[in-house]
Amino acid sequence: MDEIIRIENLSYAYPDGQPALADINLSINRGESVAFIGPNGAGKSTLLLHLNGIIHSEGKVKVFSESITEKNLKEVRRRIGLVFQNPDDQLFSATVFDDIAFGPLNLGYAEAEVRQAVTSALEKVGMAGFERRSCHHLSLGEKKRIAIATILSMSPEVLVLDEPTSNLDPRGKWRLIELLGKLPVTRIIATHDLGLVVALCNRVVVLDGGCIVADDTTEIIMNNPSLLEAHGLSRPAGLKAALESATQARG
Amino acid sequence: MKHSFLDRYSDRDSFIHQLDPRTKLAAIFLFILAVALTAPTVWPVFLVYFIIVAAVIALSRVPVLYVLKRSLVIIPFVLLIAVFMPFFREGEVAGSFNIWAWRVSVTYNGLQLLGAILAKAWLSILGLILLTSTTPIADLLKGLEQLRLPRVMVMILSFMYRYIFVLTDEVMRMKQARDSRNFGGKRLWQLKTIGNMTGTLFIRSYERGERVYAAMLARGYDGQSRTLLHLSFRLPDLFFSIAFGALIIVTCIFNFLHQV
Repeated sequence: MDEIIRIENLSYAYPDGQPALADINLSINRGESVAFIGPNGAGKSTLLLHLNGIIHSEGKVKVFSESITEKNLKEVRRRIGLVFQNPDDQLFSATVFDDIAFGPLNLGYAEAEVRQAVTSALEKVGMAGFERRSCHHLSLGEKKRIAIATILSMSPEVLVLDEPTSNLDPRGKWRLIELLGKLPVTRIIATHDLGLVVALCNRVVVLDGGCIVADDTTEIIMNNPSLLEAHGLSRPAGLKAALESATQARG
Repeated sequence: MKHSFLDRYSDRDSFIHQLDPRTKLAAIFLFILAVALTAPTVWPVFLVYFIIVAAVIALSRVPVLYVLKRSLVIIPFVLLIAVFMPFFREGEVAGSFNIWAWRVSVTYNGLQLLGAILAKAWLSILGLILLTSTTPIADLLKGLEQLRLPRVMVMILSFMYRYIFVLTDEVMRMKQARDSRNFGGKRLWQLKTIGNMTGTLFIRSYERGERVYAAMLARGYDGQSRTLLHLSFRLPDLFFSIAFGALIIVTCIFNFLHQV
């Protein structure tokens, strides 16, 4: 299989010395849809920042069988598109157009290509015609879509998303899941939204305390309630059980 | 939260709206410069400037009431700065009174100066409101960039425009959280709380800055900024520039002739 990301013995500590990741080993192939799940503070976001060289990894992260270096940094960031959790961080320009054009412009596309990239990215997220709008007048769901479009405009091969459904209402969440499912790219999603995991991912990596504690198919992980519970994640069926016990208690 | 627009009415359509942002920027700059150079004694000149700006507002079809309301916001600030002027100017005394042991007198010269400062500030702010309500901020930023304002400053302005509402939201949420916990007590304690909130806001903004920068890096940012600029200086711009420029310059000359 075509391996696109390989992480070997990666450890990382925050600048204040607090350990964040410990001895991570991971390999991701083209076409996979991988979920990183784990409780808050498990190191999911930190791990994502290593994938496109925002945090330097001293060669411990290899993408497309190469280490990330100063020289290939731009190309790596084009091919591995990282969507941040908070769209207010991701969208920093005065208009939607400027934001989506930011990546392509940095990559040195010609003007016609930039315009083409913006239009098609907006179409892909179902937001055609929003070019002239300013970001602070959009709803959260719209902002999230635009944030994804800012990455899609660079035609990435891997889409890395940090908590894509956080703070969305159920309708917004399922629309987003539908949208992500249609994109023909390798997906890496950090989340603790298990509905999203079941709907989109075929492989699940469980992180806790900066370590990988499990790495298997979605089916196996989701059918291991004790594992999920031990790491602060309860499986979707847990909801049913909770409802049942609540009904019993009442009466 | 829902926000009003800094550049409300800028999406309307009129002769003024269609002008190139650079034309408008240059015109307003010239206008403010001319207003600032007017001598405090030449009142007819202020009147002429007022008629000019009023005419352009009428042309732009921005609601007059809106412009007036917004322009009044500046008055308290100007008053705060200029209110001492009448006391420090020398000249014919208009009236004097005692404050404790001091004898304070107000002069006609000083009052005139105060009036002129208010008039200048008000005319300038009218011009600026006209500019922002006929030009979307994004276009204004592009105009500034093409007028060779350093790119860093354009970016700072752009970030300010983007994040001012995000910050207001944050402050609002903090205030609500504070008031939900029965904010009150001694004045000193209140001040301390407000100080803490300000500090928190600063740290949060700083951290947001880091995250925004990471998001920029993730899209190939390398310290250089690139934009697609599409502004066009057309025939109406030329007409407007000539007419407006001529009017201002003639008034300016009149002002200088009167002074000597």
